Amino acid sequence: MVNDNFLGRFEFGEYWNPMNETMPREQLEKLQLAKLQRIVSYAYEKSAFHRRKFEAAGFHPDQLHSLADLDRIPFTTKDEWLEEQKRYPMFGEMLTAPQELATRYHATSGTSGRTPLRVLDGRKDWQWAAEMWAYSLYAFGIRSHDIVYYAFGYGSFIGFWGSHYGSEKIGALTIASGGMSTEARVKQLIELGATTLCATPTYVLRMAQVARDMGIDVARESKINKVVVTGEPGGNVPATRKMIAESWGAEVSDIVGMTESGSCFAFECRHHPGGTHIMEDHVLEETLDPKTGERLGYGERGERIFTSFGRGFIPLIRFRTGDLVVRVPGSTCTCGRTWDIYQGGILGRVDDMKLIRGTNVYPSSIEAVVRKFEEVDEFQIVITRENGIMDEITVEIELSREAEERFTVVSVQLAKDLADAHENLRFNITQADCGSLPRYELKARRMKDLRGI
Amino acid sequence: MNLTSASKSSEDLNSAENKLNLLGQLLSEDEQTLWLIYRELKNLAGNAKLPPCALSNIRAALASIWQVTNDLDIEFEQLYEVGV
Repeated sequence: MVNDNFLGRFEFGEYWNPMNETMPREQLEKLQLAKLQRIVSYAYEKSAFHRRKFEAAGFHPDQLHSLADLDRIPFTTKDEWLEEQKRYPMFGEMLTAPQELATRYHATSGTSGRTPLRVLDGRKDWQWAAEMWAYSLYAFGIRSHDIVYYAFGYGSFIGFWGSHYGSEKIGALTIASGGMSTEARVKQLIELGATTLCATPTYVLRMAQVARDMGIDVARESKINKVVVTGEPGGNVPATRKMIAESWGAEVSDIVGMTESGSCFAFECRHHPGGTHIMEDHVLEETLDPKTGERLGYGERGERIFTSFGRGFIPLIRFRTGDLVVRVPGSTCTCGRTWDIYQGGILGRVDDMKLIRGTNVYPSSIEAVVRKFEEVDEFQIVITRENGIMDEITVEIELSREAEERFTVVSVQLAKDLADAHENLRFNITQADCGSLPRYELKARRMKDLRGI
Repeated sequence: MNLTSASKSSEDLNSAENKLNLLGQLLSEDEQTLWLIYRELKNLAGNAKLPPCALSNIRAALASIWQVTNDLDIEFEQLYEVGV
């Protein structure tokens, strides 16, 4: 008989790291400053890229006496990083250690159509990447008795790799479904009694659709009670969340990360505060006006600027993410964490706003409306310019087989709801054949701008 | 037997007792032990005389204990010089 002490039942309640997750803000800032000073000095000493940048900006790590000095440090941009990789293949002069010491390689998914960004991690960097996920999964209520199922392809895109290792850290039974078909995944997660499903929001919905076509009601026939989504917007779009929750009969948690940061950096805890807690003991986040660079306060919408304390192989210091966020105090959640929250998660991208006949349109704002229609299985947004003058926006919708006949009713209501949500902007609605629109396992690309601007 | 106290030399104990964490506070007894383990593994991880089976697993262990000292605000440094 195995002693209970060895069954990994170390359930300490709410927090993975109680001390830091509930640390008073003043101490938290002291901790951030100590880590910032160390990582900035290390980058200056070991990375030719950072030394060049700091010197060009007239900055030296010795000038960093408080977090108020943060503004002295120059930003890092993705364009600059890509240019550096092109100039000094393969990884630029950002590395702080010889490439031979790296144990992991990952690359961005390249959804923006550009060259993928390449990153390396050392042993402890990867340990950290998994740790960030352990914080996040634990906060959502995943424990050692859970069976966590990863519907993920395990390629060079970082995706759920760190999450897989984070789940193992917690001690949960962790299942990699690799290159299996969607049908095989549905069958396997039911057969193995998985309690938690991890995938992109689009793919989680896709799995439920495929299961339905197989005659399986996953809300009833699977044991999934928690769904973790990441990799694209959706987990933060209320209508999409509702659809996921209802399809699977499960709670949903939105966890956000990016390849550039090496792991996730914010999570939605099981109290569902309507946003994601920033892991402030391991990252430093700022919100700035994307145009003026002015620092913004609580409740103001701006660009997220990211500094990682985790990845030392390629230090990421004041990285302009292009993500749009609104930061609010941690006290807006009932969980007791002192870590601030991104209200509504990542709200969009600075560069994915489209201007259509004078109205700002974001893919996520369209998704928020479309997903309220349970008849819609998939959709795509196409922007065109008629006669070189007039911009048009069309939402192609694919209805489920049972709802195909209802296109007229659905399209009229959808056009009205979209207009109401976008200053009365006129949307065209067209019907796509059943199964004709692309399905995505990773980052969905539902907006096509054909205007050539 | 108390493994912790048996493995600590008086010099180690002194340095651990005086060690400050990232917030400028003294370490608790458990934290002192963790820090000493971390330091020992760091010394071993740079020992090229050890066979690959030992060196590689020590480096894996050091990466784990690095995470613990990092999470508990005991220490925060880079370890690439010792292959971690």
